[in-house]
Amino acid sequence: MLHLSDSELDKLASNASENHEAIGAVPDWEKIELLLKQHMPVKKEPRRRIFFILLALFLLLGGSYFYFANDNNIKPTIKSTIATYATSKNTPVNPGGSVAISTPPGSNLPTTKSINTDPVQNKQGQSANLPVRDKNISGQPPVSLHKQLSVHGKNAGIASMAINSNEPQEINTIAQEKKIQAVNIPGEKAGSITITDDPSIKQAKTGTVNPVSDKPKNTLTVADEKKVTTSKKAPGSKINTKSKYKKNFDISLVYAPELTTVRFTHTDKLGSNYGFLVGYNIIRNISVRTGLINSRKNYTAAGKDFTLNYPPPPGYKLNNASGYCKMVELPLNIKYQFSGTDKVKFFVTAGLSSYFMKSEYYTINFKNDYYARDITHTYNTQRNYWFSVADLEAGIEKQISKKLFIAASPFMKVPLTGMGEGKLKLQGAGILFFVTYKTARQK
Amino acid sequence: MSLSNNNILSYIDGCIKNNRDSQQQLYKMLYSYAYSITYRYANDEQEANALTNDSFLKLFKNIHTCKLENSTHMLNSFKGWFKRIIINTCIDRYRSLHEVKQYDITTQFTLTENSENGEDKLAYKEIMAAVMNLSPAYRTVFNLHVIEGLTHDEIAEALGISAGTSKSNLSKARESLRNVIQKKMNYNNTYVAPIR
Repeated sequence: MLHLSDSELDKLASNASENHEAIGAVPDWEKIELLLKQHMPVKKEPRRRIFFILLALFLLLGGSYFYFANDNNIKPTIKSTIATYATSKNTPVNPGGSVAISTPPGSNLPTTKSINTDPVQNKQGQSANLPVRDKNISGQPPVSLHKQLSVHGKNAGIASMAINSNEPQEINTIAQEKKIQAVNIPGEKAGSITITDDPSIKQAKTGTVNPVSDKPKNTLTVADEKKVTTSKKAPGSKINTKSKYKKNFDISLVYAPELTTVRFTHTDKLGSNYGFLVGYNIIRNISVRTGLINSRKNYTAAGKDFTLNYPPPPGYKLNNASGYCKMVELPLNIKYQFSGTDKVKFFVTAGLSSYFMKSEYYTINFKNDYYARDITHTYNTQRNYWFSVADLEAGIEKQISKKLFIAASPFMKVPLTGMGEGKLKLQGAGILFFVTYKTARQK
Repeated sequence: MSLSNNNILSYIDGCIKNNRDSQQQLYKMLYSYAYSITYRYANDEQEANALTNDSFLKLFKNIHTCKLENSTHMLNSFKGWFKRIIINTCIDRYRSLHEVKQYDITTQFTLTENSENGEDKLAYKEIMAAVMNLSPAYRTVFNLHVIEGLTHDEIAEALGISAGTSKSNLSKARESLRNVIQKKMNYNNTYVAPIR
């Protein structure tokens, strides 16, 4: 009978425990995963699509803001625009009469009485007051069909005009929310017209009316029936005339860093776009734009998003694919430019882009339970993807010289089809920087 | 499986960030190692699996406390650290399920004595089977002292027993095991693994 000492027994047991292969050692990840979910739940990573949603929101809000801001900018222009005055056919124009319309606060020019020339405005509680010196007309009821408006020139005495109230639409445009005064202006020649809009503007000459008009006598227009716009910028400033030039064509050099993802699962380093764009202004604020842009996109796609055109190595499954591609982009966009200031304008752009694939480079990662391996591929097959990506932009443009502009425009690209070997749907976002030369043509 | 230090570090780093992929990689890499330890303390495979999973859960919870030096033995260092977790898990499990008692284990084996055979005839799995057939109290003390190298004071503190009880349990465990092994050595080739 063999007798084992304690040390021999211990050594025997130790060797056995070290060299023993436990049976039944079957990893059960699902079980431990359940435990992990209970005890160590994974905090949801901030989704990268938030970035794109924020960008879209930014574009939407920015566009809305500039749209309404633009709308507000137009209002003073409308208010200060004086349209055609149409006088009554039956009322003769008093030769030598002058019309002076001004609203100088603190003016020492005497005013005597105001009459309301707009029955419609009266009904709405708004009034256009015409203070006139001549009592002959000052007592006219505001709702009378025919009113006489007399104003004084220096030497002309009273010029009497009968304004046909039967044409309220035309009269409304004369002086909505304005105080129009007929005053005697010493030193002013007969027939001169002074129109101001802002109280700070004392006098702004806008045009003249020939006291002895060559036109038919039953028609009198102010400022030769042209819209006259007063400036609010500075006292005594002259009429803000629109630009004499109309921009038809433009050509831009563009550069854009771009972040590209595939279904927002991975992000990679920034890609780049550079090229040129040509625009043509088809109507006032709308232009079409196209060009050629050389593009390099870097991306990493999850295995499920990459279409593998060959079977993975035995025992392995596709984990992810990272790489880059070089393409030429042909955009076709519509650009709407908001009416900003003369120097700074805002615009939005939407359209479709076609891509011409030049080359692709991929590192495809396969893995099994224990190992991972990478396989690299380079493809130089040219493929064309017509109108495969939708473009959205909103940007700001600044004029730096007469014909030269710079612009910056955040953009996002929404894929419509998969591209490349892996048929990847590449989402992109970035900022386009423009240097634009606009041709000018005199109107 | 050979793994570079970079792989281990990346798995550990991922586990610290509670990354499921990294946790899965580490789990698959170390499962057999962990199971081979818990198997010594468990009554059966099911319990060994449960102890292994509990050990991994503790590993993932506490992996941020692991300090590894960048050396060629990084994997072994990490395994050593993990082994402490596993053993503590087994001890905790033992303490929660068992009151430490001294068992008379002589009745637990029904092996028939047979002709003598050499020690080399005894396979490791049979020795381990014999260890596993010890009562939980004896087995635990035996494993902790003989295989893990803990002192009786440490065992006493870990299991909540006195050092004297630990020594007594170890002595009885050795005696029982010796008897079983010697019987096994004499068992000839007709040994049948005990039903667990």
